[in-house]
Amino acid sequence: MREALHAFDQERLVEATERALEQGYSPQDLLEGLTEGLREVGDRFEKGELFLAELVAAGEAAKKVIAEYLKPMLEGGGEGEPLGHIVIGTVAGDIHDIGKGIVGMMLFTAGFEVKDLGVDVPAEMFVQAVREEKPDVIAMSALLTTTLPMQRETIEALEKSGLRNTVKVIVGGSPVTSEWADEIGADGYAEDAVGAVKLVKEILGIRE
Amino acid sequence: MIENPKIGLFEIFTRDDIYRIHTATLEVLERTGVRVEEESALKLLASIGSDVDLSRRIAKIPQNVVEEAIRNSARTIHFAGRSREDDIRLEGKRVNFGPGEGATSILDCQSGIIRPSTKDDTVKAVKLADALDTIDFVMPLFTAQDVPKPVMPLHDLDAALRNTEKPVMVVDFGLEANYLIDMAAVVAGGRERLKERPLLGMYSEPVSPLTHGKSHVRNLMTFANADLPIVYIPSPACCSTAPATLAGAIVQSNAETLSGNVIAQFTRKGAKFIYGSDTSLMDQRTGVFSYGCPEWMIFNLAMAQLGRHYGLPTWSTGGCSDSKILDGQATFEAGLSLFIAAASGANLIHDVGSYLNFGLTGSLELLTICDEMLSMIAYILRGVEVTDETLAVDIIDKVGPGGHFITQKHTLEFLKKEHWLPGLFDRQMRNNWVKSGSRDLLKRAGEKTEQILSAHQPVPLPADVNKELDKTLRRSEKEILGHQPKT
Ligand code: B1M
Repeated sequence: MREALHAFDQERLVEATERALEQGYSPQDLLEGLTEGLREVGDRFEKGELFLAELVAAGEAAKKVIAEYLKPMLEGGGEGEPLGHIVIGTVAGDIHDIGKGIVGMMLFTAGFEVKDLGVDVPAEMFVQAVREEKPDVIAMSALLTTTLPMQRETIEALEKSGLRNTVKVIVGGSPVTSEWADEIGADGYAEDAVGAVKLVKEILGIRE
Repeated sequence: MIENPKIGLFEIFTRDDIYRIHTATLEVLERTGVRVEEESALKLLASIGSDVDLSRRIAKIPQNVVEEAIRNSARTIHFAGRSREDDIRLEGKRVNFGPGEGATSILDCQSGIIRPSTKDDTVKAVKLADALDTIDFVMPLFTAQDVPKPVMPLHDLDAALRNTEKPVMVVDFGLEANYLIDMAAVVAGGRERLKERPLLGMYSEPVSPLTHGKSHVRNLMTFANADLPIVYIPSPACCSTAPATLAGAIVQSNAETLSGNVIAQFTRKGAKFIYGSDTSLMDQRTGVFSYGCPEWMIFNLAMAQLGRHYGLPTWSTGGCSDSKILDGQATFEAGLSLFIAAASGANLIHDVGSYLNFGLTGSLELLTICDEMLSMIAYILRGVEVTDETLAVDIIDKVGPGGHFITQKHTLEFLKKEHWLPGLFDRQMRNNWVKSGSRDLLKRAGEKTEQILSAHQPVPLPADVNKELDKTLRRSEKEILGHQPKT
C-alpha cells in the first residue's frame, strides 16, 4: 500500500487495500499505516521532493480508500481518531478554488479530517456546518479584496448563533494579513498550506 | 503604440497547427460544452441552437454558432480617451500598452518595505501611467485596501477617471457593471455620448475549466449592450485548471474565450469583444500561478496568433514577474515578456509594470523601468529603413577606407532620427557614474518616478464633472453598502 501511495496511483492503492484486507489485516492497522504514509508524502512535498500534482493525487487516492473501504468497516468500533475535524471553504462571492484545495489537502495528509464545502460558501452554510459537523476548526479562504468582508460576516454569524466559542476560526488567501485576522477576531492566519497545518496544530494544542 | 508593418510578427503555429487547434476547440464546445451559471445566458444559448441542459446548466454549442459569432464580432475597436489625441484603435498589428489592476500591496523600492496599497497609491500609479509615453491605456494598477472593501472597484475607477486622459480599463469584480458605466457616463457626458466616445472598457474572466460565472456573464452582457469594449478571457493554470500539455491548455482557453464571444455577439451583434487568455502554469513546488514562466510567454504568443487568425482584436499580458522585489529576475521576466507581447502583435497588452510577486505586489518603479524597456523594444521592432539615403553608399565612398564618420553632415543629420537614446539605462563612463553617486537602476528609477510625479499634472476633470462624479460614487456606495461610509 505504501508503494501504491507513493506512486500516486489510486487504482493500485484500492487493489492493495483489498488484498491486505483479504490477507486479514485489520482496517484499523491499514488506517494507521495509510495515515503514516500520508504524513511521509506531506513531508516529502514540504521538502520539495514531490510535486503538487503528486501530493494531490496521493491524497485523493487515500481519501477514497478511507471513505469507501476503511471508514465503513470501522464505524462504531474504530480507534485512531483523526487529529481534529476541519471544515474548509472559500467565502461567498469568491470562486478561487486552488489554494483552498491545497490547504485542505495538506491538512488531510497531516492527519486531520477535512470537510470541503467548496467555493462561494455563504456565512449560513459555515454556521450550519458548525452546528451539524461540530468541527474543531473553520478554515475560510478569500482571494479577493471585495470578498474579504465575508470572512468577518461569517465570524459575526457564528457569534450570533452562539457557536463562536465552540470552534476555532482561521483565515487565509492572498489579500489576508495577520492584522486583518486580528481585526475580524479570527483565531489565526496562515500564509500558505504548510503554515496552515502548523497553525491548526498550534491552536488546537497538538504537539508535533 | 507599436506598429511594425515591416517586421514579421513572432508566430509559433503553422497553418496546420491552427486548423487542428480550431477544430479541437469546436469539438470541445460541441461535445463537452460549457457550464453557464446565468440563466438568461443559458436560455439565449438554447435559442440559437445550443443543446442546453437547464438542470446541469450545461450548454453544448454547435460549430456554426461559434463561427457565426466570430464573423459577427467587431473587427476594429475604437477605445476612446478623454481627449481625442489619446484615442486608440484595436486592430491589425497595432500593439497598445497599459498597466493592470489587482495588486493588493505596494513595494516601496527605496525602503524595501511591502505594505497594503491605498487609494493614494492608485492615484499616483494612474498619474505616472498618464505621463509615460509608452503607455496607451490605463488600468489602476493597484486595488485600494483602505476604502470600504465591497466598493473598492468603484474607487479604483474613480482614481483612474480623474487622473488620466487615456482610455480606462477596469476589472470586473462581480459588482453590477452599471455602477461602472454610470461613472464613465458622467465623464463622457451621458450614456449616449459614452457610446460615441467609449472611454471605459471592462476586463472579465470565465472560470476555468469551461465555466461562465453568474455575475461575470451578466456583466459581459451589460457591456455588450452598452456597446463598450469588453475583454473576456480565461486565466487557467496548466496542471490544475487546464491540461498539462500546452496544446491542450490552448484549446481549452480558446474554447472559453470563444464561448464568451458567442454570448456577447448574440446579446448584441457586433459587440466589442476582445479575445485572448492569460493562461499560465501552477508551479509544482509552490502552487503559485506564475507570471514569469516561459510557458506563460508561449501561451501569450499562441493566443495572439489565434486571435489574429479569427480577425478578432486581441488582449495579452506582459511586464510582470514572480520575483518579490525589483531585482534582476524581475527586470528580466518583465522585459522578456514585454518583448514577446510586443512581437506577438496583440492589440492590448496589460499588467505592464504592475505585477511583482505573481500579481500580488505592484511597484511604481517597475512601471517606470517598463517604460524604458518598451521604448527600446519599440525601437527594435521598427527595424531598419532601407533607402538610397540610408544605404549611404555616397558617404561610404566619400570617407573611404581608414577615415571616420563623426564629422559627416550625414551623421549629424541622422543621429537623432536613426538611434535610440536611453532615458534610464546607464551608459556613463565609470568615473562619472561613481561621481554622480554610483546609482543603480532601482535608485534611478525611484528618482525618475518621483520627478514625474511631482512635475506631471494630469488634465483635471471640469469642476462640474468632478462634482457629479463624486455624487455618483457616493450614491452607488450607499446603494451597495446600505449606508454611507465615513470619509
Ligand atoms: C483558512 O486558512 C487558509 C490558509 C492559507 C490559505 C487559505 C486559507 N487560502 C489560501 N491560502 C494560502 O495557501 C495557498 C497555498 O499555498 C495559497 O492560495 P492561493 O490561492 O493564493 O495560491 C494558489 C495555490 C495559486 N493561486 C491561484 O490559484 C490564484 C491565482 C490568480 C492568478 C487567480 C486565478 C487563477 C483566478 N482568478 Co483571480 N486570480 C488571482 C490570482 C493571482 C495570484 N497570483 O494569486 C486574483 C486573486 N484574482 C483576481 C481577480 C481580480 C479575479 N479573479 C477572478 C477569477 C479567477 C479565475 C476563475 C480565472 C482563476 C481561479 C480558478 C479557480 N478555479 O480557482 C475573478 C473573480 C471571480 C470570483 N468571483 O471569485 C476576478 C475578479 C477577475 C475577473 N475580472 O473576472 C485578483 C484579485 C485582486 C484583488 N485585489 O482582489 C488576483 C490577485 C489577480 C490579480 N493580480 O489581479 C495561499 O493564499
